[in-house]
Amino acid sequence: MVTVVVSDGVTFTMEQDVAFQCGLIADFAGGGGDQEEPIPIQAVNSTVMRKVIEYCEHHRNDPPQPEVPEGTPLERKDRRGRDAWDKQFIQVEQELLFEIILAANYLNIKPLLDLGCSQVAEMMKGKTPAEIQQMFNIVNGFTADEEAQNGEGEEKARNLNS
Amino acid sequence: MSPCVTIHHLPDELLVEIVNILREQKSLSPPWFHLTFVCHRWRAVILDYPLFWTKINATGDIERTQSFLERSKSFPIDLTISDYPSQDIQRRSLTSLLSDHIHRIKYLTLKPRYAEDVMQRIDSPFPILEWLNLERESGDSPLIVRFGISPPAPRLKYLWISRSTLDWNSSLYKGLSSLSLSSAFRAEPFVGDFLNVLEACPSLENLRLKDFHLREFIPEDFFEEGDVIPDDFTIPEDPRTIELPLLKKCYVSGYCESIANLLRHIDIPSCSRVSLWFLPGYDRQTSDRFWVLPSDLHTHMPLVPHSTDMQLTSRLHNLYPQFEGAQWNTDLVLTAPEVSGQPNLWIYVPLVYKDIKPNFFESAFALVQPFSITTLKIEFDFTCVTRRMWREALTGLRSLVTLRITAAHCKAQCISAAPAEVYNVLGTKADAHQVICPKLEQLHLRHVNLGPVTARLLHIALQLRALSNAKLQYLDIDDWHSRGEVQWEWPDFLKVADEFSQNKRDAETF
Repeated sequence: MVTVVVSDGVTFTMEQDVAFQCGLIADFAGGGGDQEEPIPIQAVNSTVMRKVIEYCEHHRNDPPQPEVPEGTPLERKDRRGRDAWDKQFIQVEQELLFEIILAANYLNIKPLLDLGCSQVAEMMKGKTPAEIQQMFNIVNGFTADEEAQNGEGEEKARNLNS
Repeated sequence: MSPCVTIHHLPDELLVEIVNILREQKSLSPPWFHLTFVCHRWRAVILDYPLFWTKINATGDIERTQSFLERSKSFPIDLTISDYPSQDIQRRSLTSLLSDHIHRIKYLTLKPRYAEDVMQRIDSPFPILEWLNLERESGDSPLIVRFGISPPAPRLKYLWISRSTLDWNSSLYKGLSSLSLSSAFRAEPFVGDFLNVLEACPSLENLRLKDFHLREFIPEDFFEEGDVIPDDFTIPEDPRTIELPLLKKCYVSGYCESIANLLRHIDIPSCSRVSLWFLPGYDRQTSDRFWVLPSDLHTHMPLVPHSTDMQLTSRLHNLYPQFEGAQWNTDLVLTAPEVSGQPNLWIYVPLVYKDIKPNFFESAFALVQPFSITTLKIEFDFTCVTRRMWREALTGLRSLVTLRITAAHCKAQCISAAPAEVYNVLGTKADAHQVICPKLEQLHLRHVNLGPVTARLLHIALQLRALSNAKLQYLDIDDWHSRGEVQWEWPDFLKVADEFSQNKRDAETF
């Protein structure tokens, strides 16, 4: 068993195959047997950690993802497919979604990171820059001149192949 | 962690990851680079990430191509030239611009229409080019691309060419691991030319030849006015056998004679997956398409130079003396799409061919017998196949694992006979111990009339299960009569069978 303590002081005990899906914990534990001391996870709170553990428990029997060789073109990277459970799991409020992404990044859980990023991309799909700004509450900070140039640029970009 | 986490908290590398997911999606509207208009930060991150700009579609818009090339910095690029400028001055600008980046082109897609011009202007080597695709739209007429002296591409591994071809002695055919040639019309190689290509690629893993024809086996009337037609079809036989020990996949479609004669010269490892597709020839005099039978392959087939003065029927009789008793019909198709690995056989017998001879199936299967057929699909447009023919046909196919039978347009008089024919696939009720297909695991019966559906299906399934020594695991029956459709894994089937056996009324019907 592996025990972790998160930023708000809550401890979680997990079986090794669940815990070791987090690269950070696996590195911390050094791949050895049961840990006596709880592993501190300062960058994740208990709400998010519960979601992370839920994900890891569901995927505990998944085959490991193949290593992507250095320099592999972006288009040729394999992503794990999203099943119905994943889609349901990641349907959360924006704030929790970004917290899960940050936690997956910190804990080094690549499939969960992919899932979170794919969800954000899904939310952005088909939306104009203005709609994205509104959805994520982004202030663009462009000057009036830049705004005018953007308008022309968007028009031009529309005519080009991606 | 911040009490209110937003997208602003994501570090640049995660923003890059998200943008990349959108970038991978095809036909995205608005396009992914619209994201540079969201805010200052996003623009800076996206413009400054070179890998986003490595997939370049070079067009007449030189400015745009230049900006992609600059933003991709020194990373390897994936270049497509799809919309070549029409004016010479623009062409010169584009090729001059690209000349400075040839050393980092890893993937290159060219429309053959422009390839000759582009390659003539760019004569420097491609040191890291791994993948070259000469891609021609299906509507375009075929084209021979002559690069002259091809620029060296020492790391080229994947060469895909469609509806065009390179000179057969091009240095680009060297050391490849994947070669795909599609519809190389009007530039067909002689056997020797193509064996040279294969000899230069001893590590070939994937060979795909679509509409492949060897020049010595092309019907004379295939050529058009102005083509050089070989006077003499007695080409000296090439004694070589090319070993391709790493070949994993081999797909060849083309005239039967071409395929058979090519395969005689290739030593294909037994573990490779081979698919062959035999195309029709074209008889211009009658404007009828005709189909030929796949002959015995590899060394089993004698070299058969194409002889143009023979009539179709006599030609077929000469090519396939074993079918002497069969009446040839111009719509008869027999294909063996896969002859190793998981061999399949597909037979289609159309309605017009009514005088099928009793030994037809037996003769046809004899041809493919060496390849241990495991999947058989038979499709009938008529119903004159007798039980005896079934038995004759299937005897000896002991390796059969999957059987698909489609009897489209069954005639009414066949309905009552169908179940019995099905029994004959595996044996008969009377001599259940004489199982013909002891390895059968899957049975698919489409458009087969089986009478009162539930009772008969259950009875047939149980019978087949017994006859297959309980190996039958999957049953897929689409009953034409009732429009019912049943697909069962065996355990589910047993459940259905139990329920059924409790229903005496149905049982009595049976």
